[in-house]
Amino acid sequence: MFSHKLDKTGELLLTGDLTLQNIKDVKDALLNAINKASAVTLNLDGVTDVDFSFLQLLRAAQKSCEIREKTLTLENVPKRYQELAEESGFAH
Amino acid sequence: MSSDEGLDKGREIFIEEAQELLTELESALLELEENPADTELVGRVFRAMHTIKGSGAMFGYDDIAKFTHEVETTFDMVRNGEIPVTTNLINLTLMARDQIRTMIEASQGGPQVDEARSKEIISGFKLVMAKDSAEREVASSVTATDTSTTGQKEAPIGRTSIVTYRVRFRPAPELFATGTNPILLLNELREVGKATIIAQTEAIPALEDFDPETCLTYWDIVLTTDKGIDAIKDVFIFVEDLCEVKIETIDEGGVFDEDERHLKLGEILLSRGDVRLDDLKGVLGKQKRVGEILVELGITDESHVASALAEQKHIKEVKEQKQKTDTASIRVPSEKLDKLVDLVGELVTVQARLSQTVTDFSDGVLMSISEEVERLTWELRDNTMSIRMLPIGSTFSKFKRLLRDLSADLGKEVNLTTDGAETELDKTVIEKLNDPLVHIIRNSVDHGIEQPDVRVAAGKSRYGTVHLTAGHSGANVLIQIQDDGKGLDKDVLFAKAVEKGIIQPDAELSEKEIFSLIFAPGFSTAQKLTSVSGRGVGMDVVKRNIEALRGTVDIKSKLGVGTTITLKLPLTLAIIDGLLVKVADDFFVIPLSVVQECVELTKEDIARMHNRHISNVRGAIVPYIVVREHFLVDGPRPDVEQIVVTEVEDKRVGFVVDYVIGEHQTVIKTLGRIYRDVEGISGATILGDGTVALIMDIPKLVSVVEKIESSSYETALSA
Repeated sequence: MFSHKLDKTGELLLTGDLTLQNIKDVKDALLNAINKASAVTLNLDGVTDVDFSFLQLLRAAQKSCEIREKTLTLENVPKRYQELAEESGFAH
Repeated sequence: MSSDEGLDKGREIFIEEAQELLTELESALLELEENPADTELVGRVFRAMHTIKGSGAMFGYDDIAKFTHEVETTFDMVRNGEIPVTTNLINLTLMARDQIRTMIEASQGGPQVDEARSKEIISGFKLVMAKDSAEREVASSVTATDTSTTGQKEAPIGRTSIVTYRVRFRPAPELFATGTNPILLLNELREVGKATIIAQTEAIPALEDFDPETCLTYWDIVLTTDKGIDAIKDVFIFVEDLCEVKIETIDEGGVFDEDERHLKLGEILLSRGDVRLDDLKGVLGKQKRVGEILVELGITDESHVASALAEQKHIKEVKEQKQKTDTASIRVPSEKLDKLVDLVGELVTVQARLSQTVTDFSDGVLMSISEEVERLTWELRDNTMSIRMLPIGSTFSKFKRLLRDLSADLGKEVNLTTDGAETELDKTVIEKLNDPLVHIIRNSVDHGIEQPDVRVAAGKSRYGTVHLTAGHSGANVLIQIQDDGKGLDKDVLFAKAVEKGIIQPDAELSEKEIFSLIFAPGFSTAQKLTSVSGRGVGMDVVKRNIEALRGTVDIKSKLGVGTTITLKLPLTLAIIDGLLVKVADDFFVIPLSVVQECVELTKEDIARMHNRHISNVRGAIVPYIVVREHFLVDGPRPDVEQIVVTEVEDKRVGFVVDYVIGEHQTVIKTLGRIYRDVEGISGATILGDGTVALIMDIPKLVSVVEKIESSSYETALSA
């Protein structure tokens, strides 16, 4: 289960599982947001699960934003995301 | 301090240390016999020998150093996988261990060392080494060799120590497609040892070019472990074809000696191949940190520098951890601890005096200071007591050896299992417990456990078991020695006791009383005497020793099934929580651990029970002992007395006193020689105002009164 909603301010609300099964859809939503907004805020409030593929996807999104000189901010980061970042060696 | 004094002190420390190491050596050897492939155990044996040799030579014990050298050499070969662990090697090393102990004892005025035996043991080791190298030569010339021809349990041994590895784990992009989660592998690595993990993400492109179903991350891991490189390889065993795993050793031994400096950042990056030497040299002359400069110049990126920094930090942490464990404990002579306990005891007494005096003054400020002193004293008391507490496990490991030797002597096959080795007991109690436990275990193996063929015929396993358990129960520690032998035969015990004149042929005894006969002086049921036990001097001494520790012995047995002996011991011998009571002008202390409740006893209650020393406590009949009568205290009984209801060995018995004053921290003082044999009093304590209070030995009092009652009953019957 995954759904997303982008508002005019550039806030992308992601809901459901940000896991390998949906990762292509997540990528499309994220890329769409970066293309449209100059400052993207990812609201992870409705996220139910997250896996390593999402961590990689975010890293790719950060690179895109750096290249295009846009900003990417995370909001309402779930605890599971932080644990996963620690476990994956992304926290350094 | 002169150099001679320093040397003497050093020798003292060496002897203490060597004794500890010999105990450690013994338990490691016995464990190694069971797990010959355990490299960690081989490491423990080697280290113990190595330390004894090194410190022995330092303090002039050249004979010990020379002797130990041969054993150490053999175990070095075992560590290197050149010699297998065999029963013969274990036997030889145990003999060597005993010989080292004799050497140490001889240096302290013990019996002379049997030089011939030392030589015999050393040639035994030389034979093991020579035999092995000869075998290896044969093995190298003949390809198919059966290594198990000796018929012993054996296993090749590899070197074991704490090693720090650098692991680069680079999965193939299609890893996810196989259903593999790399994070699970990383978590498995964390279980192998202390791991610092850094993800490297430079291969991940910008979002528009990224296929999110591929794994483009790789990891740099610094891992410190004693489990060996194979344990790391095992983690990746199922993804071998799907990833590239590079493992390098960056520190062997895990020691990071004091004088060994940490690798600098540049050196780490260089050894990883992330920068070239020329680039590094080019930037070293500049002022900035090398990591910053390298990143600025685009020679490497931040994530590589972060990874190298993490490795530096990891190694520093391992070193700090080691230093912490090295200084985590200090060695203190036990006399100093005894003195400390004495002083705390005095302090507790003075504090009681202070509290009492302060109550008379009713000064608020003084009162609060006194309360603070009281709190600190109690904390100090608990802390001091905990310093003296030792886990009973060290004693347990001694018994493993005892059992091994006994089984061999008697031709029996007995296993020792233990439970609760971590249970802590006062140092003095542990020391004094050793002999009684040796006696009990010897008796269990000698008289309890049957010969293997007898066991098989009885439908039991040919291997007998002696199970040692220790655990806390309130202010006491329970130690159980349980065997699955033939159990006690009531009829045989009874007949023997009659024959020995311990009881009359017409005596009527309960099962428990018959079992307790084995603790009677001069009692022995063994048909023939053995060198192990059966001289009839053991079990009565056991009981006496345990009672001297304010403990009790309980015995349960079932014919054909086994016997369980339970020792109940106080946690400490120095200070107890007591209930202070008063009879006329005399004070008594009842150990709080046996007290259940206090109830009133009026003259009407006594009349209702026709003066029969029985009371009705909420419907239950509780017999009581009038302390005033028992200790012949003069003076009239008050109208309302107090019964302190205690429970001893599942029996509820009351003690009638005039007043119950309250809880009291009781510092136990032993009674003088003249009063030592007074039954029912286990010691004395000094109260706040200097008055002496006697500490009542409740189980003893109950049994004394029972004896008086039954003899007066018999006298009444015969009259």
